[in-house]
Amino acid sequence: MNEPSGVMTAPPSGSAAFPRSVVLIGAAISALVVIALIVAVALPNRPTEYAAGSPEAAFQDFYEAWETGDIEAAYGHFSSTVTAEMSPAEYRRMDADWSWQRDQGRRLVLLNVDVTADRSVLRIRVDQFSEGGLAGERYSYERSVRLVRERGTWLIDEPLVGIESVPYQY
Amino acid sequence: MDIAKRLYLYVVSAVSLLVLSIGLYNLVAVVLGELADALGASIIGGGGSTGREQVSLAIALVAVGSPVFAVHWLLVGRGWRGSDDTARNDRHSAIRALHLGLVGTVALAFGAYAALELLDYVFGTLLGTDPGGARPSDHVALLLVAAPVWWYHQRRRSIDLRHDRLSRAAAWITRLQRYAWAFVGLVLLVGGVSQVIETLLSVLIGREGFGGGADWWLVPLTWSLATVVVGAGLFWFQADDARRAVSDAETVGEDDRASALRATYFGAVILVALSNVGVTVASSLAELGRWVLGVSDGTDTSAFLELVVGPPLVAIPFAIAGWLHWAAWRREGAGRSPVALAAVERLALHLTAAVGIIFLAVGTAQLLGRLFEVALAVAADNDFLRFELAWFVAQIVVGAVLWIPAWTLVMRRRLATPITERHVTAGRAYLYLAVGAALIAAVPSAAFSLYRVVDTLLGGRGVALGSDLSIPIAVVIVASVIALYHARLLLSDLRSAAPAQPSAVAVAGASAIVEVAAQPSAVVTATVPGVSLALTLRGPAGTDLESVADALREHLPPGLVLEDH
Repeated sequence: MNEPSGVMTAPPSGSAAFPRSVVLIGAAISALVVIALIVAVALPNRPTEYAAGSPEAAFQDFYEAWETGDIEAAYGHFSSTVTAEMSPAEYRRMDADWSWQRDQGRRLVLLNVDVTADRSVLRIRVDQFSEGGLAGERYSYERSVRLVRERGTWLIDEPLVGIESVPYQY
Repeated sequence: MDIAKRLYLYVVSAVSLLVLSIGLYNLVAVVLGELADALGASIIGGGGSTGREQVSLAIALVAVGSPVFAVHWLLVGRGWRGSDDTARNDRHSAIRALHLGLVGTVALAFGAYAALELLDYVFGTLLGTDPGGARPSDHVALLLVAAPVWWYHQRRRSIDLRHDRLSRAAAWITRLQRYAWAFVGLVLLVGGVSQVIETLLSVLIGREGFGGGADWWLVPLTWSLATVVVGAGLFWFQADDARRAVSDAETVGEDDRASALRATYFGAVILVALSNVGVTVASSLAELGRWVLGVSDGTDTSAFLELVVGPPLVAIPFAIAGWLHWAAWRREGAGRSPVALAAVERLALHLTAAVGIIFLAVGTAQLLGRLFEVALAVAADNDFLRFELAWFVAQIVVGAVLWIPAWTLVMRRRLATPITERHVTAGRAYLYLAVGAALIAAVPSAAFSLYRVVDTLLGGRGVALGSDLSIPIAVVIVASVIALYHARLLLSDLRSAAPAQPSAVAVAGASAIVEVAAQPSAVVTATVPGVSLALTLRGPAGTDLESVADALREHLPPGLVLEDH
């Protein structure tokens, strides 16, 4: 509101000179880019180390084996109930169908662990980023993983490929 | 600036701002997400390159979007800064209004969504619900980017309005944005409060699924609380913006209170409030009737509280919002002029009558149909029939309570001031709507009834006509009564319209400026002191009257204003 109604004699805002606000906004954006680069490169954000023999460590070993394509090692983390229903060859076929998960740029964040006697459930948040579209696609969702302790070792008690539970009968 | 250049600059600015905003959102989201994970998260798998990929894409978007946006927005700024005709035309252009309105609206929509999600997370955390896979840092990032974009465009438009006396599209697009968002905010606020009441009452009376230690209802409760806060914020801001536009009428150059969009906003709020309260009260009455007839779904006190007492309590926020808007609108009309007050009351009465007649028509048609079926012995007189009849009668009761008083007042006004009341738009629109809706309902029902009769006469399938035709015939009867009654009034009004023009108009040739009436300023614009003269500008078909009016405005002496109505 620079003036009362009627004849207009002045521009509605600021001067026509080089706008200082643009410089400030540009500086802020540049600073944000630098901070983002530092955060992305400098912060480790590598997997946490869990106590050996814990359910978390068992799942972590399974996931690392699957992520590196070591299907035999991943299969070795399944419980007897799962291996009775699914042979290594079947698991390999399942993995071939679900291998797209390796391209999703996922991060698995452990939310909590519920241990009851010889059974445990891991609640995991999956943060996912995939290319495509103008901005890529980033979203998060939750998965639960069941484990069972057999002969003192925690084993995964469902047919899991990556983080997705897949039906039998392959 | 010519139209093509203006269109190019604003479109490219909008697209490049979108690219820049997406890049900034991703950058902020990655920074906040990585910091949160580094500070407290337990990463059990993956993770190494996720943040880097996102940062790479975000930097690419910012690097491409920011220079394109900066260059084009600087060129836009050169266009609208200054006091020459070019700058003035740009600030008055519909393209600029559309750009500022559209970008502001998109940014506000994303900001409101992010605020809803974030508050849902906060309330959920406070109430101890499971947040699931939600990542609040993403919503914080969206809010941090959307809010400044919205604020800048909103502020820019506010300055334009108060500096340039905008008119036509430049003015109404801004007004549309204001009142549309006020309506959205109000619906979120009132709907959220209603949901909170429903959830808490359900817990209090131990409704099925809400007692016994179950706490799943905390999840919808947190969402309802989030909608209340966001709705209140949206509504408060837009209502305050409208209040300032009204108080700055002299600077803005037009009285917002006289605008059709403001009247539409008030009318829409009253319509929604009446409809919501009508449906819930009808539902409650129906349950009461079923209780009396002994055919209710529940027989204990908890069921009575849930089905009979609960619905009206849940509708209270809608009733309060409708009443407050009606009172404010009426007070505003009274403050402007007797003519404005009459217009407000007229529109409210016709809206009430419209809602009432819909309830009446639907309830009566269904009741008649069922009664035909019973009379023709194609439906048994059993508990299910009584269960349905309670709902039909409840609709009729609510419809009658709304329509009879409203229509009585309308008819009294038509008798008291026939020249005005029989030719105003609100009344004419109501009559056309009633006749049109009744015919639209009657025509297919009549066609179906005739088809079934002819088909039976020609030896078609031997299904009982009674069960097929009861409802269609009831619809035809009710719709015909409504159509005939309102068509009679409409035709009478149309016949009386020709000789009774609002005032003696002396048309001088094919194109002339004609004086209609001279009156005190309070009738036209209460905020602009002095006197006023209402004029009608006429011309041959195809004449650009808006341009002529603009040319007239250019030549007005200082202190005089020519306004559109």
